[in-house]
Amino acid sequence: MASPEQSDTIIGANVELTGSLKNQGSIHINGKVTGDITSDATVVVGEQAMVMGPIIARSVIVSGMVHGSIVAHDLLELEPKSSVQGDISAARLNIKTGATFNGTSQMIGAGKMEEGEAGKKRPRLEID
Amino acid sequence: MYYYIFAPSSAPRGLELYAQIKQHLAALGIAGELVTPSPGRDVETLVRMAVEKRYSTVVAVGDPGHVNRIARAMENYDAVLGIIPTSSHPDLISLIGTGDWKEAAEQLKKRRVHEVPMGCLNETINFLTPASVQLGDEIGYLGTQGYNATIIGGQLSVSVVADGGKVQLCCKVIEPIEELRGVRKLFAKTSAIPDPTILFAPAMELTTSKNMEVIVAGDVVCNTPVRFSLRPKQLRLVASRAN
Repeated sequence: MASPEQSDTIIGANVELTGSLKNQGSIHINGKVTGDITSDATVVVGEQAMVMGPIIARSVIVSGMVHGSIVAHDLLELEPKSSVQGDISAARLNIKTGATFNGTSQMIGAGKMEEGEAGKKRPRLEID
Repeated sequence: MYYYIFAPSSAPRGLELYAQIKQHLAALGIAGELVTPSPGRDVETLVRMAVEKRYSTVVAVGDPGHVNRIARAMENYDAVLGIIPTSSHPDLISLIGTGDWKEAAEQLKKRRVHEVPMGCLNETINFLTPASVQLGDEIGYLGTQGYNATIIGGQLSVSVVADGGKVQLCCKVIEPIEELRGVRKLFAKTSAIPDPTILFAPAMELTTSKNMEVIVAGDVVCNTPVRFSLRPKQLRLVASRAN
C-alpha cells in the first residue's frame, strides 16, 4: 500500500475539499472530499476518509468510505472495514474480508488502458 | 560587479562573522561595494542604487527575511541575486544548495545563474521562501480553480515548487503538533503525528473569518484574505544548481 510519504497530494483529516481534484501523482485522502478525483497514479482513501464522488486512477486503495463510482485502470483494493457504494471497474480487483461493497463490478482489460506490460496482464479478481 | 547588502547587525558575533565574510570575499577576489541598510537608506533604496551604479549582481548577506526583502526590492530590475546565508536555514539551502557562507561565497565567484520561480501575494508582493499563515483554531477557506478546501486549524504555508518541469504552488497544512500530542495522551491513542495536507495549484486564495497575518521569513507582509500566485517573471539567482 502506498504510504502517505509517497503520495504527492494529501488531504489531511481536518480538511474538507469540494470540487475537482486532479493530480498526476498520487492522492492520499484522510479527510472528506465531495467531488471527482482523478490521478495518473494511486488514490488512497484512508480509514477515516470519506469520498462523495467518482474516482478515476491507475490504482485505487480504499480503507474508508466511498459513495461514487471507481475506475481503476490497474488495481482496485477494498481493504477490510472499507465501504464502497457505487459501481466499480478495474483490471485487477482485490476485495478483502470485511469490506462492504454495494454496486456492480466490471473487469476491464488492462491492455485497453495501457500498452506494454500492463497490456499482457489478464483481468483478475481476488476475493479474500 | 558585486553589490553586497549586509543585514543590519549590532551583535558582536554577527559583526565578527561579517568581518570574516568580507575578508573571505576579498581573498576570493570578488569584493565589491559593501553596504548595510539604515533608516535613511532602506533595502529598496540600496537596490535602486546598485542598479543605477550598474552592478550586475546584488548579494543579500543575512537571514531568509533579509533575502526576501531584497528579492522583493529587485522586482522591477534585471539584476542577478546572490545569497550569502549567515545561518544554515533550510529555506535558503533549498534555494542555493548550501547553508554554508563560505561555499555560498565560492558559488558567487563561479556565478552560475539559474532562473528561480517566485510566488506572489495579491499580485504585488513577491516571496522567495514560503509564505505562512498561522490559523490556530480558525477555519481557512482555500479556493483554487478546481476545488475549494475547508481547513480546520493548523499552520498553512505556501511555497513554489518545480516538479517535473511544472512550476506550481504547494500548500502545506501542518496540524498543531503540541496540542495534538496532549489530546493523544488524554485518549491514549497512537503517538503518530497525522499526515499534513499537501495541495498543489497554480494559484490559490485563502480567506479566513478574521484578518490573519501572512508571514514571509518572519516579516508580516499582508493579511488575509490573500491570493497566492506565481510571479510571471522568474528571478535570476546565483546557485549551485537549478532548484
